[in-house]
Amino acid sequence: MASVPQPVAPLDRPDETEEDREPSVAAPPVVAVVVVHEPSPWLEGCLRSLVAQDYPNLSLLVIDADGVAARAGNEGITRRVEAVDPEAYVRLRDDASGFGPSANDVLGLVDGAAFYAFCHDDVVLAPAAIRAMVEEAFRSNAGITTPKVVEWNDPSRLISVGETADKTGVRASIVERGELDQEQHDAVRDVFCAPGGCTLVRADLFAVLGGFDPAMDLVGEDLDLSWRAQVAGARVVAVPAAVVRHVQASDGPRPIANHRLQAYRHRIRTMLTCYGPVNLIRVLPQAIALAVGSIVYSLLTGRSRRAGDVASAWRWNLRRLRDIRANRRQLHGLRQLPDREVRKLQLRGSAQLGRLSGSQVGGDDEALSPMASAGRDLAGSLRSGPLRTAAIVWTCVVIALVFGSRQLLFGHIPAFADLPDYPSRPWTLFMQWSSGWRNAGLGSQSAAPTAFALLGGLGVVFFGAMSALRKVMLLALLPIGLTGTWRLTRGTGSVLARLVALVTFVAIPLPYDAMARGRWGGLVLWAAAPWLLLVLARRIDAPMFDRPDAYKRPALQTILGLGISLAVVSAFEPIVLAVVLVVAVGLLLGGLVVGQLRHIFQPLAIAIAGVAVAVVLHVPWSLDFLRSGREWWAFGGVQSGARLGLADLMQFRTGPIGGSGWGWAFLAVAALPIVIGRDWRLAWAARAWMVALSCWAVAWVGQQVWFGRAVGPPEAFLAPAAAALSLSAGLGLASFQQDLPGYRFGWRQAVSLLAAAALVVAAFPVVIATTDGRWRGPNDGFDSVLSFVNDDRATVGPYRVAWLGDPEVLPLAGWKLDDGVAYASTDHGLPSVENRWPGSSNGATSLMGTAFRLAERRETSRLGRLLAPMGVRYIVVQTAAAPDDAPTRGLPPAVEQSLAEQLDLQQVLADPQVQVYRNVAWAPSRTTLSPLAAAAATTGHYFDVVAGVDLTGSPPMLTDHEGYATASGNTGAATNLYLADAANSNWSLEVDGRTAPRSDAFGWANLFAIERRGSAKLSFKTSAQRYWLLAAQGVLWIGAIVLWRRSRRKARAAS
Amino acid sequence: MASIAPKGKGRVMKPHRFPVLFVIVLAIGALVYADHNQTSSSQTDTVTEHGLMPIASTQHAVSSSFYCAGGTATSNGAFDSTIVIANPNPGPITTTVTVYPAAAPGDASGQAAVATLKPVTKQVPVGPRTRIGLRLANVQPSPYVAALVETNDPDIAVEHTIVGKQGVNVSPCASAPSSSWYLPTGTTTRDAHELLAIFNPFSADAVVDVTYQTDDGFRAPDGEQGLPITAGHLRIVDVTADVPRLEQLAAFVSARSGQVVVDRLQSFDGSDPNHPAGAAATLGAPQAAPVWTFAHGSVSDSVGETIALVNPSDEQAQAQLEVTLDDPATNGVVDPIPVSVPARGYALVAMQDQTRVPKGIGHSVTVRSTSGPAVVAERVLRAALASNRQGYAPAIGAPLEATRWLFADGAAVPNVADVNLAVFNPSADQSTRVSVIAMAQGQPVEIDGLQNVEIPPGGRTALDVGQHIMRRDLTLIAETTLPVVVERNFLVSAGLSFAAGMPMSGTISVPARAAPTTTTTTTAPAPAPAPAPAPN
Repeated sequence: MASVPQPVAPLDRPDETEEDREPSVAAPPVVAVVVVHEPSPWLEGCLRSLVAQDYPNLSLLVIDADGVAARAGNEGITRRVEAVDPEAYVRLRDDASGFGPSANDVLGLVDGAAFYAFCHDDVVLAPAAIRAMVEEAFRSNAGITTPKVVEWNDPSRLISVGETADKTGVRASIVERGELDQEQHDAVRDVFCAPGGCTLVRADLFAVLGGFDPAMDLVGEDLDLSWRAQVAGARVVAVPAAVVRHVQASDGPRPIANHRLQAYRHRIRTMLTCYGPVNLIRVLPQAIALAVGSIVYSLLTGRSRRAGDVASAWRWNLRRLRDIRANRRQLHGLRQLPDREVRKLQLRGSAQLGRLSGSQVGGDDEALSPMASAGRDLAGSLRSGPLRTAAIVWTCVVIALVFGSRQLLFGHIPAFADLPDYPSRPWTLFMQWSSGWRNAGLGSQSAAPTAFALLGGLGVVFFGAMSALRKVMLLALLPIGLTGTWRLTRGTGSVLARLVALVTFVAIPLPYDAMARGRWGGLVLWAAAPWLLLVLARRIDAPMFDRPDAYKRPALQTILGLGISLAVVSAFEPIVLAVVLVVAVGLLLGGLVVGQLRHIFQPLAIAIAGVAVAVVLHVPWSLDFLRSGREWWAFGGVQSGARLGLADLMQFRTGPIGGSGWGWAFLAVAALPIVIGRDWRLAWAARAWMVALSCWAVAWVGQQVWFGRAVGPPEAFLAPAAAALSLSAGLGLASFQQDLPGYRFGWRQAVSLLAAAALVVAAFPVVIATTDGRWRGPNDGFDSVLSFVNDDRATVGPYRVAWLGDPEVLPLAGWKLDDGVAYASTDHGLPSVENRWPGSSNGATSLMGTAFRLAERRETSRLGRLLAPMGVRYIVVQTAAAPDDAPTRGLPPAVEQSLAEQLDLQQVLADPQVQVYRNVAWAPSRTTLSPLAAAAATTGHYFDVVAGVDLTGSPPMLTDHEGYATASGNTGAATNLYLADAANSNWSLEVDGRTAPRSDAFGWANLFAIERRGSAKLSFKTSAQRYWLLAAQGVLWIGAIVLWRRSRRKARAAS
Repeated sequence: MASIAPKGKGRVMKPHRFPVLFVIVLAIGALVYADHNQTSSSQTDTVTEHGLMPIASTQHAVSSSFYCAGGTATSNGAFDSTIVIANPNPGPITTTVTVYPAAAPGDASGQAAVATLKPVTKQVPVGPRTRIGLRLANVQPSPYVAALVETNDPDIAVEHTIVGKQGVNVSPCASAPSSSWYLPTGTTTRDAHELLAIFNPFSADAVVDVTYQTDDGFRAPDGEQGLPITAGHLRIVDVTADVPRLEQLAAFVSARSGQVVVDRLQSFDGSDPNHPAGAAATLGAPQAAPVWTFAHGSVSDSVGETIALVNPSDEQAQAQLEVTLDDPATNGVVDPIPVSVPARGYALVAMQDQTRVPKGIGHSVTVRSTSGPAVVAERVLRAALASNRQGYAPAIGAPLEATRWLFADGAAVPNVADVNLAVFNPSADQSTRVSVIAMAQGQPVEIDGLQNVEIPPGGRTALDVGQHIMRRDLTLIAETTLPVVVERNFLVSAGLSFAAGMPMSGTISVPARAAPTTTTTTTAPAPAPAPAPAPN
């Protein structure tokens, strides 16, 4: 190994003579610091340019940043330097480090320098560059000067003449990269950032600042130094007279690993370091919002790695907060200028968003942001006709959706139908998820839906802003669905075809009708539909989805990806598991129709496997669907009394938007490729139609009385039909472009024009519907009208509210009572999102339904008495989803009349759309039973017993409750505490530490015998098995995601 | 334009357009065909069924109630009220009877006195297969009373009997409340007194409108619009005071909110020769129905039979009265009598004025809506015989058919009381057999001579129970092999009473709106006049 020469300060050279020193008297000493990374084929050129500088007092320090490990192969560095400039000093570092830490060595090595010229090893300076920068530094009293950087191969093209950055540190070039240098930027000016490559820094300033931030090994150290210098009162000046050619090896021949990630990390660190407290408070939320937006956008566009980088960069900085605080303290001591002065040179607004709008900005950081990438794509697209059209159409679509949703976006989203409020804290959902007790109906020991965990997790991400989460969970679905359609049609190879598909999908009124009717689950399925179709269609090895530039996805990756996606969607709408199978069957039938049998079973096989993965990921919740007592209602819901006919289904007429007849136009648009298409366009159009027909068929079955079950919200099967028709519409345009020229002029051209006209006509109702800003949804829900059902809880004790109505208008999910009638209950007054998943009514809860059926059959005239042991104080009957929301869904006369003629129900609200009955025979859900009632509770059939037991006036007990499975309070001696929750031995009552014996009451509830007075605590003991199962579920999710990522990475690497 | 070419994959078969088109069109056609041929729900509307007329408590009932709205509970009241609870079950039951007091309208002192009273509840045990009568004056003396009878057992029937100076009447108590009640007949002439007893046994107040349809139009007295019926109260409306001196009026009670039960209390003092003395408490009809059957019918020189049809809708109704004579082979067949009922009006058909209805021959009448809205039908029999069998007997028709009918009250004591059952078989092509069972001392007794009596299709028969059994407490069950309508004719020395029985749950069916296919012949010649029988 070669000996390591000891560095010597360039101004302390022992063999220097007086003559040698003489020039330095006139010119301040400058040390050029060249940091070398191997391989560096440009090093000699760089050194020669430095040697050739006309500046009289320039010394050269070369620092090898690759360290010991790399030195064995880089022994030639010293020789290479010596070969160019024997007087240059070479510093070989012991460890591999980046540019900043290596350059900082100059602080320990050099003494007496006036300026440091930090140079990359891939630059070549014009002979007068250093002189020009030094002169300007003196002239402008600048702390940092930066040259005009031009392209290596074509010096007439500009790279930078200084840079700027926005408030969050996203850099933007002042010149357009590649711009022809016509001396248009040759004025000396202040800039916010001196980009790396070649930077002249005043030595004393560099020392005061402590050099480059040692935590920034590569990328972003230049911005950080410039920013801090300005905070310390120094100017940063661009000197166009100094010209430097730059290879920019990090962008090409010598890439930096994790360049994007590092840039993002360092930008955040700089921002956190350089702002004063006031401005940091102001800017930080904006930066976080941009980061969230960037993550969401990346995820939507399938760039999960980019999203991961953004998140990882924030995590990296959070772990280094102490370090950042130290830097802030140090900088605070140096601060000469307030932030408002520093910010004068910053870019106004957001550089990221600016790029999206096609502004002339760009820079190193551009690659960091997926938005920036999209912006670049967009800017480039504007150069060509179809892409310009795409930009215009997308802009129009976004504007239309934002305009149409403006009241929802910026106003209040009422709680109605399947759009319930969220709990105020995410913790509530986590508690429900982890507990072994479900409070749906009369309660049961069963698993909670996985959605509780997902929503709780999202609530944490939203820092507990649950109402904001609710809004996002509604409105974010629109872009997800549109992006899915855009991706679905990528294989058509025609931007115009993709646009036609997009516009068709947007014009089909399903999502807006879903919002108007409060069918959030339907909207979820709408957003998921094009993605499901895309995943399954890709498995068919046929033209369009076998693009040569796409990597081949292995089956495992697809299965896991589909399974995880299905698990997420089915957490909110379980019926999606059936939807995906029907879509797969439709593709299979389509393959048969077109006679392309290759891989024909793949979509179905993948769908089945994906469903299996999703089911496994939902263990233990999914076990509820498999064990005995399962009920369809928990999976597909209860049929509405308002049934859609085939014409409604085929026209996607599921709500107020889209009048009669308009919807047929979609079919006309989608029929075009069947009529004029050839080859793969015809084949895929046929498949799309078979998917649509399969979905319509199942949706139609779900509307039939004889089927007796709902198949989810109407959108469940109509959404994939809409996606398929949109694909077919896009294929129609592709056929128009590719196939129509092959025909002679005739009826096909006319048909094409008709299809185009049909699309315009079909879009009309949706355009009109944008005017009210909430897609004709209601302004308010019934929550204010019904607030009283929750208000007297504090005074009268705990109770339940029973709900009756058409499942389409009920604000919670329930169980079937009759055709078009569901019943449900809440034990915390008005329903919230927790009541979206009814579970099985098998067991105690079914008694509530039985009680209502007894009333309906005129087999009781005292329904209140039958419901009293269930703690039901109010019965709410809804015939509309929201006030003044047409149309109403009245109850069958049998049900309505049966309530009106009960002797112990008192109607306390007789609104035409909502009626509330108070049960005058009610008893609190935690109460004491009289000895007579307690004795009766231990015998006989429930209804036979309670018909003769009057619990009216029973006092409330244990009125302090924490959550829904714990309550406490004082009890008297020799009392019977009755708990109107399903009997379970895990309910435990402790009175002053002693456990009270529990027994079943009325065959389904709990009765605790309390001997002595004291302080009592009631709780449900969740079994350890439950926690094990939840842990297993967590492991399953993590395992599936890891496996999927690994499989994806492997496949990409292989391709 | 970018293009994705098949990339030379020769294995990919090129699709053919026509099979694709064919399959798509075929699939759409199949869907359209299926959509047009879907079956519709034929679920029975239990409320319509149960709400049409009083029925016995259902077999699986865990609790049921009967509402006896009208009556008096004073020593010399005009409608002295007794409720009769029949228990056909093999085990004893306990019922809860709550009696609600009310004062006469316009009686300020009475109002004040009643205001101090509260409903009185009494547990009333009823032995197996027996009945019990409870005179309400013994529970809660009051100018007027209503009773709520609650039970947790099935198959119970409750009737209320009113006894007054002018007559006797037995009729079922309501088994369900309603928000509308129709009373097609009513009289407020000088010799008559008509009251409406509006009973709200519920815990929420009700608000009702009382209106009348008269010969000279529609009347809505101010004081009876928005009339509050306080929760758990009975309110008496004096129709005679509100719309005096009318030979015929139809009363409508419509609840704006809440549910009520309405009885009409009608009495005649006998001072008008056209109105023999009589009294009746008649439960209104809660809703219109397409078919109403009166199993009993008779006209003679001294027995008048009038059928009133009310049309509560805003559209004119067309109906026909189908008269079935006893022994049609001998007596012939009567052509239906068409009747047009104006919107929100009524029509009267005096059967004795119909030449096609022979006098002295028993008959049944089926009122059937032929087109337009459904109607409500009530029949009034007025007998002015020389014997003591005279009086006034209104009865709402039976809108249901059933195979088991329960009659809680009744008696068969020579020269004192007699019970006849008229059975009408509405089937066009099947005969049915009827058996009558009496509940006696806890045992069901099949009455000799009244077992398996055959009734031909579309035929009617009258069974004189008193000729086969004698009991003071005669609770009867009529069982048939096909759904029929059974009406009881209860004759006592003080008057006469007609009313359909209570059909028992599980045996009920709603008659078809369309008339059974029959061959109508010309009207048969009237038989030779026979001695006018007593209404039976």
